[in-house]
Amino acid sequence: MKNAYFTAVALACAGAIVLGEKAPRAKINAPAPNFTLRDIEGTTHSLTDYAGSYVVLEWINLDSPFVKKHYNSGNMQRLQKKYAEKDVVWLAINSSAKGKQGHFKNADSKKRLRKHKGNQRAYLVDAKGKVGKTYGAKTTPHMFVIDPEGILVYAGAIDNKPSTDTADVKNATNYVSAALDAAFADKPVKPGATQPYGCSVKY
Amino acid sequence: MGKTVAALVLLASAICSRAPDHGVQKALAGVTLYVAEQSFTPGKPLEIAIVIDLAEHWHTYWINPGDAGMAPKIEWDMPRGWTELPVRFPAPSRFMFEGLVSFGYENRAVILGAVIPGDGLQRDSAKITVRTTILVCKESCIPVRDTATVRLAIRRGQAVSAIHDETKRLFDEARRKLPRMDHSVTAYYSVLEDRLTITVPRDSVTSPLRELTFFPQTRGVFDYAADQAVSRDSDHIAVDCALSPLYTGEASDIKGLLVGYNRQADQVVALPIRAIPESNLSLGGSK
Repeated sequence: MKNAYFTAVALACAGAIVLGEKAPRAKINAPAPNFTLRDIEGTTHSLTDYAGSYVVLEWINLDSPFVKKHYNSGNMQRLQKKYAEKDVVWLAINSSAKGKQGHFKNADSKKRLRKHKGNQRAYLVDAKGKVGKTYGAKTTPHMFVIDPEGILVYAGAIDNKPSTDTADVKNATNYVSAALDAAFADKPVKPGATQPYGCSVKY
Repeated sequence: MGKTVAALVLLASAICSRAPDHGVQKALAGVTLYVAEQSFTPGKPLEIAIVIDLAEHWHTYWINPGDAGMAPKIEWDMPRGWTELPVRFPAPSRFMFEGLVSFGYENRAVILGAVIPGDGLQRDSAKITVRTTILVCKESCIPVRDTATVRLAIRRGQAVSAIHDETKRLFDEARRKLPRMDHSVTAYYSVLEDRLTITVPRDSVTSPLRELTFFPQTRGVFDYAADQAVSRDSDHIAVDCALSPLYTGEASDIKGLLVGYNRQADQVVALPIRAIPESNLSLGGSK
């Protein structure tokens, strides 16, 4: 036990050194960092392209059991459709590195999205993980809401039911809906941040 | 057995894109129930150990899983009129994987629960079933659902049913790994820029603990992967932690475990901490 404990502490410290490097990171109530990524159709998207609109960033890995929960239940697609009708730009971002779980060739990603009938504006590929790390994306899903002024107003879990059970969707409080609806009504977004849940992003 | 588990672990990695087969789930993690006594007395709490055995190199999670993962979900099925007490998790370890930190357990986790038997059973025996849903992870994660059942007989007279020495040892060891609820500590915290310092009165930490680490139970406040700095003076122990860049200052009290190693006892000790904002102290409290 002693050895296991010290090993765990040593690993944590080693990781801290790696993460000690200062890199620009997203912060709540601060301008969301711009990025440029290509989608699976080959089109390039920058966050600044959508200035003046609400933008949702959804970190995605279609092999994560937590992402499956929200796609197999239709929850994610319903949200995407509902807010697309309110002119919200919904961007899914896949930060799985090549060779890691959730990284697919574009053709495979298209096939999978068709199967799930995804309603996101675009599915962006971030295989080097640069955008994911800038935003501090840790899990799939991990959700971010950016207002028309480019301010990050919400970051965190999709809802308050950290499980893989599709039955939990109907009784969950959806934080992304809450954030968008509050922002539309000129009300403060609360909570502005929550701890995300899901599988780790496969950087 | 070892080779079988290793083969199945490889298989699980290979099929992670499909729904995991139940047999693979069982090879990655199994749940067994143990009771502290083989018989029960209505109204008297009966301790139950929920033992999760994990395949080599796979882990599962504490009540705060950290950057990723999922806390175990435990559901009880008992005779009508019986009630369960809150389960108690052992002190976790810390796992780093590709820059993300998780809190949890490898090899084996023993979660202690207890039930209070009710009156009015129609039979002289009772069945307790525990359904667990856990997430087990290595490079990929697989949800594992398992059900374990134990049957108990009602106690007659003063007779105490014997339990195996091995079961007794299991309970003794599990209790040693629990947070020391009888030594829970009230601390205070202060925030300066992107750091949060938890200050613990030194006299509340009665045993000499080394390698102190704070495991936050309150979510959304800390940057789990950043290092912690521990300092001591004659009156206080201070743990300096990095705040999450996404922290919004909405937390009031902060809960967690201060975990350290007691070399004399060769034991890891976990002290429950509740830290209140330092500003609240100036309203009438004292350090």
